[in-house]
Parts: sequence; C-alpha cells; structure tokens
Amino acid sequence: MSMIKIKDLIYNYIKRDEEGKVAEENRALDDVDLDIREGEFVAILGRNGSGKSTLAKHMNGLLLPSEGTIWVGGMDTADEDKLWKIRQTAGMVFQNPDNQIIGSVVEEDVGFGPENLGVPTEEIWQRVERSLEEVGMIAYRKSSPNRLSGGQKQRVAIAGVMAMKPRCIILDEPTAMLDPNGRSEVIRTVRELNQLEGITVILITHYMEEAAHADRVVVMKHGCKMLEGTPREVFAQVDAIKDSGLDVPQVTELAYRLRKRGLDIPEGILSTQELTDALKAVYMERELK
Amino acid sequence: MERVALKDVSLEVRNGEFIGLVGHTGSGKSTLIQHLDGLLRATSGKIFYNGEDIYGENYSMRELRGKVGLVFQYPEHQLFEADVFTDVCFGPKNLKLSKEEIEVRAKEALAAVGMDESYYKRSPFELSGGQKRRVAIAGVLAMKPEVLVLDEPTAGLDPKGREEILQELKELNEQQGITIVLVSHSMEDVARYAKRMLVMNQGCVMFDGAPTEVFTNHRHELEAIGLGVPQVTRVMESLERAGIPVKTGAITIDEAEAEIVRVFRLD
Repeated sequence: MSMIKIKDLIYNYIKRDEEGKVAEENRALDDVDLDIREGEFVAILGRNGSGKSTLAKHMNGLLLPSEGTIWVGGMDTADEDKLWKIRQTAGMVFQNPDNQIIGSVVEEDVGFGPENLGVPTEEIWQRVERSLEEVGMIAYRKSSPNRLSGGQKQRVAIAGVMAMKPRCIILDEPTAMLDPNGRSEVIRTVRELNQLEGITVILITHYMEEAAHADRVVVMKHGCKMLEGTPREVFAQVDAIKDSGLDVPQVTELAYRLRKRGLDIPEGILSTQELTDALKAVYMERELK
Repeated sequence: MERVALKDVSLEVRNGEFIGLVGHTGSGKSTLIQHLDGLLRATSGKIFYNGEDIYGENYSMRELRGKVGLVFQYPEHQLFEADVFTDVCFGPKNLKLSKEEIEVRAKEALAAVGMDESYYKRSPFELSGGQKRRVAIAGVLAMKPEVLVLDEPTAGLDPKGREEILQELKELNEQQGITIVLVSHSMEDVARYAKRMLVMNQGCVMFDGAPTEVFTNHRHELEAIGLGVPQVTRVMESLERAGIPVKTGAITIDEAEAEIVRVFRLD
C-alpha cells in the first residue's frame, strides 16, 4: 500500500520585490515522481540545495506543490480540510532539537502534540509513556530537556511526534548537529520504530553510512531524482555519486578501488563484514593454488 | 551552581600544527577553545601565547584575538552585511587599517576559501550553506590570524562542501603556515587531515598523539566514550581476525588500499 505518492511534483520558490511583484522564480523541484510504500525505510540524499528538504516539506503539507499532486495516506495535501489529519499521519523531525522542544519537563513536551489534538488526558499519558519507551527515554520523563544531550533531545523530539500516532515519520537531517554517540542513538531509534512498530521512515541525511540501512535510497540533484534503488545498487555507482558531490561509505569506496585494481569481489559492498567475507574468499582460493 | 568544565589541562600547541580536537558533547572541547583566544578566563592556571602570559597585567587581549581567530559553530548565522565583500571587510575595519589594506586582506581571504570576484557583490543570504560558511571563515581569515580555531566547521554540509572546506584548511596550514585547531565529530576527517589528535573526555585531555597512534592503540577506549575509529580501521582489524595477514593501523582509505594491495600482490 502506498503511504506517500508523489506525481509530477513541481515547486517554484518565488522571490518578490518590494512592490510584491515576482522578481525571481527558482525551480526547487522539477517533475518528481515517487511512491513510498507503507512500512518502507527510504533515505534521501543530495547536496545542499538539491531539493531534498523542499521535498520533505511537501510530505506533511508544510509546502504545497506549484504543480502536480502529493497524497499522504491517500489524502491530497492540497485539500485544506485534510491538513491536520495529514500532519497527524506524517510527523516531521528537524535538524536542531533545540528548536523543537518547548516543554520544561520531558513528559510535558511529549504530551504537547496529543493535547493539541484534543486527546483525552488519560490517553495522553498512556501515549507519552509509550512514546518515551519506544525511543528509550522513559527514565528521563521528569527531566528538564535542556539538561539532555543532543541525541537525547532528538529522541524526545521523535517521541513527541510518535505521541501523535503517525504512520510515517520524516526526518530532515536529524543527526547533523550530533556527536557520533548521539548519531547512532538516533539512527538506532529510527530503525527500531521502522522494524518493530512498522512506521514508514523517510530519512534525509548527509551521512552515507546512515543511508546504508535503508530499504531504498533516492539521490536528488537539481530538483530531480538522479538515482534510486537499494543502497547496494545506488552505492555501487561510486563515480556517479562522487561526481554529483556526494560520497559513499568508506568500506564501499575501499571495495570499489580494490575491484578496480583487479580483485574479484562483488559490487556495492556496504559493510565491514561483507568486505571481510569477500576478501577472505579470494585469499583462501589463492592459498589453495 | 559551579561545575568544573576543564580539569587540570596542560597542553602545548606548536607553530604550524594541524590539530584535530575530538570529544563527545560536554567533554570540554568548546570550553577549551574559548580559552585559547581569551573569551573565557581560566578559574586557575595559566595560558601563554608565544611565551607571554595572556593574563599578565599589560597583555592586550584585543591583540590576542587578532592572532587567534575563532570560528564558531554555524558561523554563517553571524553574516549580516548586504554583500559578501563588505561582510569580510568588517573584521579588518575594526583593526583600524587603511582602506586599501582592508580590501587587499578581504580579497586574499576570499581567494583562500575559493570564492572569486563574481561573489563579491552578492548577498551572503543567497549563497548555499557551504558558500556561506566559507564567507564566514574568510571574515576571520581577513584578520590575518596566526592560529585558526574552528568549532565543527563542516557540520550540516554535504560531502562535497565538507571536502572543500577541509582542503582549504589544509592549504592554509601548508602554504601559509597557519596553525589549525579543528574541532570535529568526524573521526574520518581527523584521520585524513590532522597531524596530531587531542581527545577530550570529562574535562581532561585523555589522549594526545598522532591520529594513527591514537586510533590504533586506543580503539576500545574511544568506543567506550562514544567516539570510535574510522570505518577503514575497523575493516583492517576485521581482515586480520579473519586470518588475512594485513598490518592493522590504516586510518585512511588510501592506507587501507595500499596495505591490501601489498598483501594480495596487486601491483
């Protein structure tokens, strides 16, 4: 079943002069088609300015298409009557946790969303508890958010979205401001929500290792989809990816270079274990000879 | 409330070094670098710049701040002038230099971060994230610092943008002899660019050495404090465990490639 369906999406950023006349029009998204299935984990990569964040903001109605259509859970985002239902279906997490946390106590912050939806008090607390458990932050429910680390704050922000009971979470560079510890905490949490709770995940990131966990990778360039496929298929195209100003995981690049040097190992290696197995096979074979 | 952010830190930074400073959030690295240009004053202890006590009676903090340039996180948030060139001129203008000297410096600084004349009259706010960041760095370079301290200058940039900034820092270090202190969360970047690595933990300097030495001898401690080692370093250890007779200790892709090529005799 389709969770998010995008058809012929075009978006123009319009810059107006002092009199309100159109001074400049920039096409941020140029005829994008994308179908994200329920329960899928999709990573979106691309350079700064490639249109990834603009695309993400269309997925919960923060931006509306200049042309084309986008459906979230079957609802057209241009349908104003559905806007709140759409935002509840697809929750968004942004880069800077400090801009997303408003409560002075963790559990109050997480309860803010459902409270706004008019959820009965008792159910709010159940949802808060469950969401905090899902992101592994239940021990901090009475803490003040500003005493948490970046990774913990970001998990609280995710819990805040989860308390709205969304079917889909869109994360726009959620780890850009975090240290390695915080990064792995957040990514682990997101993967668990996807695998255990069946939440559809759309992850925008500049970290290629994070994209390696996705079911599908979409690479954006100049407002268009440039590449799309499984991480293995996409990262196998090392040259195309590097030419477009992106990168591949270190182990993938190492494997790619060794392959070019003539070692008989598979394309699109994504993990240390895969490379070890492939090199070991070659090594054993040579030893036998 | 009082909390000790730095505990008994002793450290010597030599002329022309390229130092990678790592540590998790709250380890004290940002506090440490703010001492380097006198923004924070040590509760106890001394700091010497070129042999002079910066807390000495006649020492000019103003002059120190001209010599030690500090680039904060997300420095592009501090851009404010109408065009790129004027923004970069702002710092040297405050040094009361002649107009010609100010412009020469701004041009040099912008050239050093790879921004040519076509950008001079553009609004900083129209630029991409990486370009804005480079303008902000140029603003500090125009002060002609001897030491450049940067707090995560590549955070939030795409891979190409990261690479460009790091290459420019490398050139500033090698060609102009500027001492660089780079705060980074990327072990891969530190492995590639830094000649010396400082690991901060709980307000102390936990390790201080060449990146190869620190990453290969202290892998478990680094993982325990949430930092880890570059992915290729783990690859080489995994190969060794699998019985392939590689030497471990590679911290960059080039080094790992060379070692595997040697063992598999691919030359």
